[in-house]
Amino acid sequence: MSAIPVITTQNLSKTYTNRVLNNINLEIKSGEIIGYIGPNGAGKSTTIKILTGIIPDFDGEASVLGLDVRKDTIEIKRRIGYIPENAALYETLTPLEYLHFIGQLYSLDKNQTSTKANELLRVFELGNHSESRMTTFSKGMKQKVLLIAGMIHNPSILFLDEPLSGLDANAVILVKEILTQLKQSGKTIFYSSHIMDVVEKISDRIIIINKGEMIANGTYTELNSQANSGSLEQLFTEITGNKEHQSAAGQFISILENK
Amino acid sequence: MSIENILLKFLDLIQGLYRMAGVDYEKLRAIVAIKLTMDNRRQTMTFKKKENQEPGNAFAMTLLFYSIFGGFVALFVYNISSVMVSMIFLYSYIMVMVAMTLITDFSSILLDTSDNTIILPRPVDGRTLFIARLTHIMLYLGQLTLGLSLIPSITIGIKFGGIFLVAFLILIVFAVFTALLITNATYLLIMQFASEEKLKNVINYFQIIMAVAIMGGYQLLPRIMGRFELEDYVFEIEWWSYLIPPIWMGSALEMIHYQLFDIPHFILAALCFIIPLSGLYITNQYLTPIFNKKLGVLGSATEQPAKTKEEKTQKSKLLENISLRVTTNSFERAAFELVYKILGRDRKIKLKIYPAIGYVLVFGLVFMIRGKDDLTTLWNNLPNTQYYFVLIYLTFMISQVALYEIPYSDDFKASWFYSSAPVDRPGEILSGMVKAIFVKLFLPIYIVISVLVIFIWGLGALDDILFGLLNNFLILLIIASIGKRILPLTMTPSAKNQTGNFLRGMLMLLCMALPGGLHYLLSKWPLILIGMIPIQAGTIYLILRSYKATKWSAIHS
Repeated sequence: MSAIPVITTQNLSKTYTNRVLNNINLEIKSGEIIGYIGPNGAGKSTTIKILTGIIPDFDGEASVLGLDVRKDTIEIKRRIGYIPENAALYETLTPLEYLHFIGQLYSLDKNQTSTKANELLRVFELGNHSESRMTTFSKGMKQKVLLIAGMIHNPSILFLDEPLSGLDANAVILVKEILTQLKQSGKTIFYSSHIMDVVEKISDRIIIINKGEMIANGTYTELNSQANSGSLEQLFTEITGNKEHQSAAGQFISILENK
Repeated sequence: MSIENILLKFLDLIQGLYRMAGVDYEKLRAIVAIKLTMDNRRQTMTFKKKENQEPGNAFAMTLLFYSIFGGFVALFVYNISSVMVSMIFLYSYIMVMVAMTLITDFSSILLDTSDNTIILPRPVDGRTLFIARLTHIMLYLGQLTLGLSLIPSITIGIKFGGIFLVAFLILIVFAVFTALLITNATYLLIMQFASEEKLKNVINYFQIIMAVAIMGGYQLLPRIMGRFELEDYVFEIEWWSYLIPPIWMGSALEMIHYQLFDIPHFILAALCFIIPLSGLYITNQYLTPIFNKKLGVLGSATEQPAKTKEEKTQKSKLLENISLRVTTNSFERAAFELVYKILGRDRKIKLKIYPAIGYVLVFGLVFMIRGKDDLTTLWNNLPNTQYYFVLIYLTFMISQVALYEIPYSDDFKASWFYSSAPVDRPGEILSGMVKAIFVKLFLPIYIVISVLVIFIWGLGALDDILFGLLNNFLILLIIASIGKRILPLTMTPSAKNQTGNFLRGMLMLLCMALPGGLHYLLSKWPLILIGMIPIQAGTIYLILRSYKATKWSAIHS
């Protein structure tokens, strides 16, 4: 694994009406898979949107592939892939039409895009649906199209925001395998998710953020030795301070039963 | 060759201009092409296209529809002797139609946040994306304008000659640009100061006002214009003329036609070009970055709640108080509160129902402005008429539209709880729905109308107001009972055309006419009218009881 940092941030902060990211410092090396986890509203998606150049206004410094996120946005976008949390697609299009359009935005060759798109759709068992409009697609089918759209241009870094949402068990296993093999071929993967066991299995390093602050950063073994927990789920609960699940569940039941 | 390809070939011809403006033309073309494809597959507000209608066919229909509209305007304009007045009228018409289409059909496109996740993460610069959006809109507006100006262009060619026609056509391009820039600038201005939610609300109310304005314009303009003898009207340039774009265009054409090269005409003619061109420059240079910055955070910003907790508590207490008084059990109360809230919040439902409130106003005026009398005479004679009957029963239009629209919602899938909850008699939900429509939409307007009636006709009309109020509720109940019984918000909007038939419609009309007719007859004897109120209340009670007893087997789904 090369030791060149491909993503760095210094005091990365973002404020809407309140502060959602506070002095995040990252240094991610080429070929790493980073598991970026945190509770809802912790600032995971905002971090990804800043690093992918979608949100241009932020405080602090950020660079991707040695390029300044503020100045070299287009070049960064050309070399990274992004798979957003919500399956936003132009649903009146067919998967082929959509992927062809995405290929054009990366200035890919038309024929190559078509061939590639057809083959990738077939791998994801969407070959028979490649010319059907996506309005009737299930959430999982749309997510598969989204995954292909994020990777069709063979990016060096992949930003994934809840990529497994809506996928069936077989597709989840397939995506996990794809990510592992992508890492082996030298790609860097910035992986944000709530599904702890996947993060635990595929990540080289795990970063936990809570309320906009980075509260943990290390390999699973390192973090586990600090917190002495049995699984990432327990570790997450320990670190984010939400230890009261058992008593909250108890309260929930007792409220239900008391009408 | 499809219409999409023709439009794209046209873009190819002017690609040099795009490149000069710093746009990545290949990517712009790809974005515009995909948006045009999607346009042909989406339903517009103006035309409900069938799912698989051929694009070319849809285009021909659009062109035909707008040409017919344009034809009417051309006929009207042909009879106006003043070049200036006729051209002001024509350009106003085109610009209003353009602005209206932008707001109704294109607001969602201009503020489409799906581009945030689909296009913004790709290597497309902000300017290219913004100009691609503008181009897409301009191409659509081009089709619209072509239709609208087709027949007027022929009549203008015949009446004023070739040179005038060429100038007219060139100025149309600038008129469309001006309308587009004004609308865009307004959006940007609102986006600077308001949250996304507020902007969407503003657009929503604008759409409602537009719907009313079109209906109002169509119904009222010919009646009012007839009184001003527009045919021989002579337009004088005043200070405010410089602020109204259609006057710039009219003035430029008058200057060409009569060779009037005086300073006011010259300035007005210059404004036709200066404003849209400088607007385009400012948009490209300064507004595009602001727009893209704003667009980037649309949908992702954590918005502050628009109302304070205190305001919300007060509102919910008011609703709770009302619902406790007008409903009899928890199912009815639940439906009442749900429909009451949805009627005040769901933008799509508001867009369908709220224009009816404006239509009441428009039709109220339409019925008033009859005969040849001038407006002052009409107003002065009003207390001597029984015109308040029209106002009392026109208000019913609001309830009728709401009753028709409330079963349909884009979120129809959210109605799963009707079948999972232990609802024994769905009639309770239906009655809660009818009551919510009456209380939330009908009553406030009826109170305003009542104040107006008392102001004009005096307290003597009070018995009619009271009888009318109960009658309106009675009619609503009868219509709800005769019509298909559909639970609120349970049907997809696309199922709408399949409901209702002619016989049912006629029966409903009769049910509306009978109680109204009875009221008119009894109004001559106020004591009998008041004496009839308990009978009326008893009838309402009986119908409501039967409606509430509706079983699942009678529910249309």
